[in-house]
Amino acid sequence: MKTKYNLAIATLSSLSFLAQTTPGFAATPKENFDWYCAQCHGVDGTGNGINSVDELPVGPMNLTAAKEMSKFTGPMIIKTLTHGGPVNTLDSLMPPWGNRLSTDEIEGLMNYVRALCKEDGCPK
Amino acid sequence: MKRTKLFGLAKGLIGAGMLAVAGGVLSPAALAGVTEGKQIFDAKACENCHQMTGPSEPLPVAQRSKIKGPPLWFAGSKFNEDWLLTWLESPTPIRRVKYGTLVKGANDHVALSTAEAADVGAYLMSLVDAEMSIDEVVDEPLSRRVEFKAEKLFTKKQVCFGCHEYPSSRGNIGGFTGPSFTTGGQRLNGDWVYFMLQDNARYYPNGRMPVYGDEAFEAYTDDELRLLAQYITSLGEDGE
Ligand code: HEC
Ligand code: HEC
Ligand code: HEC
Repeated sequence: MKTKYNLAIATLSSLSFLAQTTPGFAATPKENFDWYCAQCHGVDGTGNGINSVDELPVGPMNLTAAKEMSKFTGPMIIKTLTHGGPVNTLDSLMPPWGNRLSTDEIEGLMNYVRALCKEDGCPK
Repeated sequence: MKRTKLFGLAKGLIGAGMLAVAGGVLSPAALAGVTEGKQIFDAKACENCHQMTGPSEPLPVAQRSKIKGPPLWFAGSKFNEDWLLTWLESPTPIRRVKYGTLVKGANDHVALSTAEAADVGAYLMSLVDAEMSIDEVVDEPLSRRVEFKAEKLFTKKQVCFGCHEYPSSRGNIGGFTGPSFTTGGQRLNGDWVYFMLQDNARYYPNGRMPVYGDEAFEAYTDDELRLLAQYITSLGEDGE
């Protein structure tokens, strides 16, 4: 694919290539999770990211726990990811990502989050 | 005294230019600082780590580890000049992670001599974002009552301190991935913070911050954004 090819060449050179690349390359759900979500939820999703400090109003939710995750349907997760915690009466520490990520990316993240929960009782 | 600022230099240059027309007097000092600052900037290869043209271009997530430092193409809009000169001479950590990673720690940064810092500072302060409007945010300390309201915007309406350390009544608290605001008042210009909060992707398309500012969530009102900007640029000021 042409765009990818240009990009590969560009990244070999210096930062000045930044001005020439085009926006809109899709990231995998794992790439997005590790970049945006792991800062609070941790790469493994258990809630141990580096922003998880004692003074915060609530801890970043443990996305691997059936006890927590069985409360949320897929559409609810999509709503939270897009508009932030308060739309599902959760804390506003869970930020809105609808301006940063596309609806496809958010759907991918929903499925990714679902798959992080593996214990008995996790929603399928 | 918070900002001498911003457009101080740009105004200075225009002033110098007009002087030249009116009285035949050049102001080589102001101009020379910018030119020499740019030379030092190039010679020290600062651009290897700092993007110098804008708006910042988005990169795919997988490539962002190639970015070695924050963009500086809008430095003159963002920083307070006094802070910048001091910092270039004796840099202290701003972010609480190794740049672009989720690893706690600080980045060692090249330090300049006083003379170099003055020139490079002049050059950086000449780089303004022409699309940013100025004199939007009041540069005054907040009354106790208004400050209380502003702090709620920062800690409750959205939990900004989830990623940004700030000086609270309980001491410095907050997350790690965003730049610290413990010296927000010395460092940042209120107009830029206000503009950045409306159009974060213009400056930081490759950051980890959510984009606030439209109907994707319960948005801040325009007044609230101004207040947030004024609040952030009063943090760590004398008297707090
Ligand atoms: C600033 C820290 C922070 C970041 C960044 C963050 N979260 Fe959260 N998240 C939270 C907190 C805190 C909660 C729990 C809120 C509560 O308990 O009231 C939460 C809850 C959740 C939930 C459960 C609630 C629901 O309705 O499904 C999911 C799923 C979730 N986050 C996914 C994500 C994903 C995906 C990302 C990245 C796009 C992300 N989070 C980024 C802090 C964060
Ligand atoms: C090896 C990469 C690298 C080089 C070379 C480099 N910087 Fe930096 N610079 C950084 C990093 C990383 C930070 C962030 C530091 C922090 O947050 O504590 C930074 C921060 C800055 C800042 C503050 C920006 C902000 O948004 O907080 C300025 C100003 C700056 N550098 C100027 C310079 C100048 C001038 C030079 C050349 C003399 C230079 N840098 C060379 C990596 C670099
Ligand atoms: C999920 C983490 C996160 C949250 C929540 C967050 N930020 Fe940020 N913020 C960041 C990161 C990371 C950066 C640095 C951007 C970059 O380097 O690409 C940043 C940058 C900034 C800057 C520019 C600072 C500088 O020195 O360059 C301002 C101002 C700011 N944020 C204000 C806010 C406000 C106000 C809120 C709440 C409405 C907020 N942030 C919420 C992560 C966050």
